[in-house]
Amino acid sequence: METELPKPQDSCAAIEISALELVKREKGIVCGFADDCFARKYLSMGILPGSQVELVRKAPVGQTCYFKIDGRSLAVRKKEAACLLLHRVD
Amino acid sequence: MPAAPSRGLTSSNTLPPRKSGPTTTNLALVGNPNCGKSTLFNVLTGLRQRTGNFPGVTVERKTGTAVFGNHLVELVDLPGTYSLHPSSLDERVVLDDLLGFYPTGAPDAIVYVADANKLDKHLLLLTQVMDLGIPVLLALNFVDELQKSGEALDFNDLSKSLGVTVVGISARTGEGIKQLREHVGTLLADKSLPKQNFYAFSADEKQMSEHLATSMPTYAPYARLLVAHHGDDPLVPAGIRIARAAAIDVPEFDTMRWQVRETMQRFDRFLPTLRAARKTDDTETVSDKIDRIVTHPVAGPVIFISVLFVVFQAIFTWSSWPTEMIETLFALLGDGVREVLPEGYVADFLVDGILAGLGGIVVFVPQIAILFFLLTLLEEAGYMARAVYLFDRLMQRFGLNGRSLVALTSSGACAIPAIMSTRTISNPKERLITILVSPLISCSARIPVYAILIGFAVPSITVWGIFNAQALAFMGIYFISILAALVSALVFKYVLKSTEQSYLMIELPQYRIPVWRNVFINVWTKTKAFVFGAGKIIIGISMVLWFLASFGPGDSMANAETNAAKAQQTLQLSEEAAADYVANSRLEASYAGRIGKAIEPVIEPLGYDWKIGIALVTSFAAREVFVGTIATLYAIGSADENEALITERLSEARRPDGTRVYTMATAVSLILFYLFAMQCMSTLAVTKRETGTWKWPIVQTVYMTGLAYLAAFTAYQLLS
Repeated sequence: METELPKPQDSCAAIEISALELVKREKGIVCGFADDCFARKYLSMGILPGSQVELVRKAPVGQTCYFKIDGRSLAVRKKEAACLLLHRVD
Repeated sequence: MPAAPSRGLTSSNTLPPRKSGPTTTNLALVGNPNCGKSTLFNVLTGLRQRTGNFPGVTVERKTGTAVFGNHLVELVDLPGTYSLHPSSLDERVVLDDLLGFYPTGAPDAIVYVADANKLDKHLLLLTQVMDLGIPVLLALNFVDELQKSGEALDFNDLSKSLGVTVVGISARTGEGIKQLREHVGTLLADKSLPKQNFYAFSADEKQMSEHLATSMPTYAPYARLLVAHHGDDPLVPAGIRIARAAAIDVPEFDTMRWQVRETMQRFDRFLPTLRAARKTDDTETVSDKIDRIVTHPVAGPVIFISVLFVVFQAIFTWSSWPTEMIETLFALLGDGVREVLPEGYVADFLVDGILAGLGGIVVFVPQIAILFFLLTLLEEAGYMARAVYLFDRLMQRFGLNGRSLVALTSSGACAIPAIMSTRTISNPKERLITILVSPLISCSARIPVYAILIGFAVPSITVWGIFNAQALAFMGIYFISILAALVSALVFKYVLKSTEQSYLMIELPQYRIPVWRNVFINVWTKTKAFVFGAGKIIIGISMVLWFLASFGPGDSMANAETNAAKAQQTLQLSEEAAADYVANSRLEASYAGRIGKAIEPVIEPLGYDWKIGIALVTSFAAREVFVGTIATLYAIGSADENEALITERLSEARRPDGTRVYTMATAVSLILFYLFAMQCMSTLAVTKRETGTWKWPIVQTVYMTGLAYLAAFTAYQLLS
């Protein structure tokens, strides 16, 4: 279920992928969240629709994700990454 | 904490004035994680700080005193949080403190600390805090870095648009601290409130807030809305909780949606005021370059293990001479007391009760201080977050957290600093499991016990050409202890319930050179907390143990002494041997001896006799006491705890039926018992201090000792 958010102008219309599906060094723009509870947490950290997400690398065991979001480094568990919805940028 | 009069939200003139004087004011430091709040706290309070726990929870509460203008201020450093809508226990503490649900009341004013370079993220919480109806001041930290990067920030502009005083500071360099003190003094004097209600309520929210107005008349509307969202906490006064339960029983209340909407609106309102919202910076920073190696899938874990090895090694080697010095000092003190005071219970009590207890605490200080020194360095530099990232998933499988790895490794030296280091684990369940299993890792105090017993269990032969069998056994013992800790953690993962959702979402802060002031203050306050917090309990237990070993029921002790005196004459022992013989008889007749005899049926299946029983009882104080007790029991003389001599005597020990007491089976059984059993009152005292209740030290004792009994029983029955 996607959270209805008051969308800023640059938010996308269609969801393409979750942050978990990014490949290394690929970027995406946040356009929504798949879970209200995680959404609240992401939002409170200033990760909003329109934020730029880049997958930097994954940890060896269980693949905890290392993202760079709006210039800030963030470690995120797999299930948390899965709820971050993005559209790709080149 | 004494109850303080709470101005601000819960203003009331019926509260008694605080003892420390009518001018004492409560000031809270609030801010996001990594905003430099703790550095500022250390700058403002220096060594005038205390650490404790928030009532009822294990979250650390750091308070200190500082003077601003004419105001003597009690400053509290609240845990870093991103939002007043909590998603973990330490975030909950911030909300409860700001709403005045703790006995200390709500703060009279708030200093909000934000990273000047990350205002687009750090101002969300400020806008929430501003809506609480408490005077707020904005301290913009890291302005020195702002100047370096050449970015201009108009403080006046920001101050005008937000409606709060803005002071630029650098807690690391001390820049702007003087101005901050002046502005806080002014704020405390005029108590000017920020423009209320940064947030525009929806019709439903307005109604909700009005619903709660009668039960919370002194609270700001936003504070009431927060109670509607999060007021299901036992800390919240019953009246408010009942009113809240009624108020939220409406179909339109959807807590998650409302919170998300509120957060979005706040961002929409403040982001435009930051003229140029920071553009995304794609250039690779120094931190990114370091991270390419430090968080590399292969190099990262290797680096982490090397770091742990260095820390572990440092605890062992650096602490050895101060530890020896402390031991010598206490031995000298004991001798001194015995020389000055006449022989008797007073001298015995002072030396064996009080001094032994004190020594038992102080002897851990070097290890604790070194561990905290190194851990604080790693934390301050920003490394710990990387270790969490690397090992979080692996540790999670065992119900632990990435940070648990640090605690478990420290346990190899001593469980006490290990348990204290778990404070960095924010999820309460993961932290509790770490505390519970840490003492299973074999600590340095077990080494002398193993050293004596391994001789009986494993012959000193060379196997596979190069390995010494006894050294292999030593390694095996450590391996078993690690395995036991992980398996126990796994069991607790399924047994313990947790209401808290477990998050990672951890910011990996920029690498920075540690602030030495922070490192030293941290080492000092934590070591002090151990000595005074756990110390009281350790001295208490040590006095009880002294009493048990020194007294017996009725005149049994006196009788034992007379009988022993008679017997030693017929035996014609040397003077020294005679004294040991009497001491042995006295111990046998004491309460401790009686306990040893009483538990003999229980420990017999493990291969132990009542003498080992006494050693088990006295070992509860600390495992290394085993060696001393055994020495006394087998009349070796406590002055000469020579391991070879002890081994020799033990091999001569016979049961009444003539069989040897110390066989391979008994030795293996004893090793396993000491490997698993909870026999360290200092650890129990720290667990009590860190968890806030006696429940967990009791659980720890029961499960570990139960495990020890089972393992020792199985081993003895199979081997004998």
